Amino acid sequence: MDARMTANGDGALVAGDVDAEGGRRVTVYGRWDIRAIHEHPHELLMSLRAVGTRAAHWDLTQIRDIDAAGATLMWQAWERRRPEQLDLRAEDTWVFDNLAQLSRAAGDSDTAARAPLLARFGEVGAAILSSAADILMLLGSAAIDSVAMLRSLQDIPRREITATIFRSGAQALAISGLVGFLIGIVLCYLSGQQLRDIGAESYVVNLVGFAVFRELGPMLAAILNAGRSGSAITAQIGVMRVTEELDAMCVLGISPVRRLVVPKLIGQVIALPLVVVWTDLAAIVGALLGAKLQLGVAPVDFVHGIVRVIPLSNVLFGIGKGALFGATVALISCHFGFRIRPDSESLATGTTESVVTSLTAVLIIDAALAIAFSHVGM
Amino acid sequence: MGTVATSVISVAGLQTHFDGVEIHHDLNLEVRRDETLALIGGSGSGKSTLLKVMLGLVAPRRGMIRVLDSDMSQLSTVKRKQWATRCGVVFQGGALFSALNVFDNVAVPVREARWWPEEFLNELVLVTLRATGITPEDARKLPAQLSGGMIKRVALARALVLKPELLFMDEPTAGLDPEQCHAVVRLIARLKEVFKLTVVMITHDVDTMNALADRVAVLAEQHIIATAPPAEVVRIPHPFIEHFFNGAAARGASRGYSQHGE
Repeated sequence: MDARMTANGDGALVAGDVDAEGGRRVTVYGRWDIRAIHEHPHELLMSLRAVGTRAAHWDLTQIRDIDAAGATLMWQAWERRRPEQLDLRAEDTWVFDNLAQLSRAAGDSDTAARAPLLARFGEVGAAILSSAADILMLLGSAAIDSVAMLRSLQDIPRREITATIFRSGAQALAISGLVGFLIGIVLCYLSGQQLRDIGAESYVVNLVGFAVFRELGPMLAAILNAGRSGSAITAQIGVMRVTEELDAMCVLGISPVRRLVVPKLIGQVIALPLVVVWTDLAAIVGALLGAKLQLGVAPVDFVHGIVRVIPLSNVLFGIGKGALFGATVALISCHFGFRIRPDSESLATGTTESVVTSLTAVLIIDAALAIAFSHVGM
Repeated sequence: MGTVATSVISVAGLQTHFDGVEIHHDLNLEVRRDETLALIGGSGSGKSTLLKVMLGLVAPRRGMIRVLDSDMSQLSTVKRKQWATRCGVVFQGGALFSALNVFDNVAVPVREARWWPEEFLNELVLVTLRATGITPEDARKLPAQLSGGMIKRVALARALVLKPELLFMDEPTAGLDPEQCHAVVRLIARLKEVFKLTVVMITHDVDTMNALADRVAVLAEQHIIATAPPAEVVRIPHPFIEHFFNGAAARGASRGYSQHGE
């Protein structure tokens, strides 16, 4: 008698034999559930393939226990088709029926082909345009709601506006001040080195003054604002989406734009210029210290120099940019917050996209303003 | 049953506190192999906390808890991981990972245990999902795209994919319409037979309890006040039990599932 038996794991056995008609007969014994066979699935599959093919008569009635894992191995050995002669216990039919249905379904469906490169570029372009249109619509809705609020002053969400000013402004003072101060020192040290080589140390005031008031102050404030407040705004609105608070607001007749977007927009437009002024001051103090230590410029002379050479329009231009950046970060952050779907992955992706888009938008706007207002304050 | 009933869960002298409030006092409970035990009690009576204590998620102040021959207070991190493969849990809201699709949610325990080669995983997961009534098309969906009934089914598939011996369920039919409720009850009854499970479930639903439970444990006054088969527990003369079952009857909510969903 031709017999072959293999034992693996917790008593999973398979035996090959020749039946009365001279055909191949395979009998399977023992436990074929994932707990019993998970240590040796490949060896068991090889044993099954070695003992018999799909053409053999398979007897699974001696099995003690089988689940989807054990059945999957047999299904693989049978090349994903049921043997013509298969004896099963009644309680095990469900698993092989399911495998048969899965194999039929797999034959009917193909994996979706990847879109060609050009089409993917088009999709990205369309997504950017769609986002831009959505942000414009959000701005429009916020403007309409703001005008409506002006008609009935008691509707102005004062608490939300002041809360935004506190979070985006007061709570950002420490980090903005520190960054501004350190950038002022670095700027003064690096430029002082170059200016001293050509004997133009006194121009450090002009260089630092223009750089800080016109560019660095607003940009530093906006970058920190996008990272701190922008991400917080997106996450807050996103969590409200996840917890269905936004739906509840709509059902209660409360406009999410009026309650969420407008206060954040107004709060940011008020807070960020103030943070810009604070960052400018911190950077000037840092530069003043750097000029004293590096070039020996007296603090009084430095301050007098700043007042003398930097036109007020430059300072106001920087503050104005702060307001514009504040509005940009608020709108983009709110937009991405509303786009978040009710799952944690979307929340993480949406927050990242919000910060990256805010920073990109701030840089693009800054470049455009630098070109458009190149004659102002120079 | 004809076999000697061995204890799968044994809780003795349990005392649990939460934020300084005593939740359980001298609580004792036994769960026998192959039975379905329904844990009932009022809202805030500490049913879910008891479930978490049995799962080792909440540490009791005092008492002995043995689950599947393991003393929960002595379970090391390594042993806990092995122990966890022997238990399946269906949380009330499903607790599916929202960032993963249905397939990956069910594959998580298998991948985490490193029990099954990736090349065979597809059929294992899809067959387990089919056993709970989820199609391969639905396996690509995210949890946010599923109905309440489907979330329960996927949670069941995830709990059963490693073929546990013990299944914990917290309100398996909560939030479902009567039709879905009936379907889930029938599904649980069938899966209990197929997977040869011991089941511990928390429920407020008397019909679910009658359809599935072999025994009912009533949690009130910080301990188990009674343990009996469903037909007998309703006759126990205790104010809470009378109030609980009379209230259910007064609501007229009885959908009358017969035992094991037939």
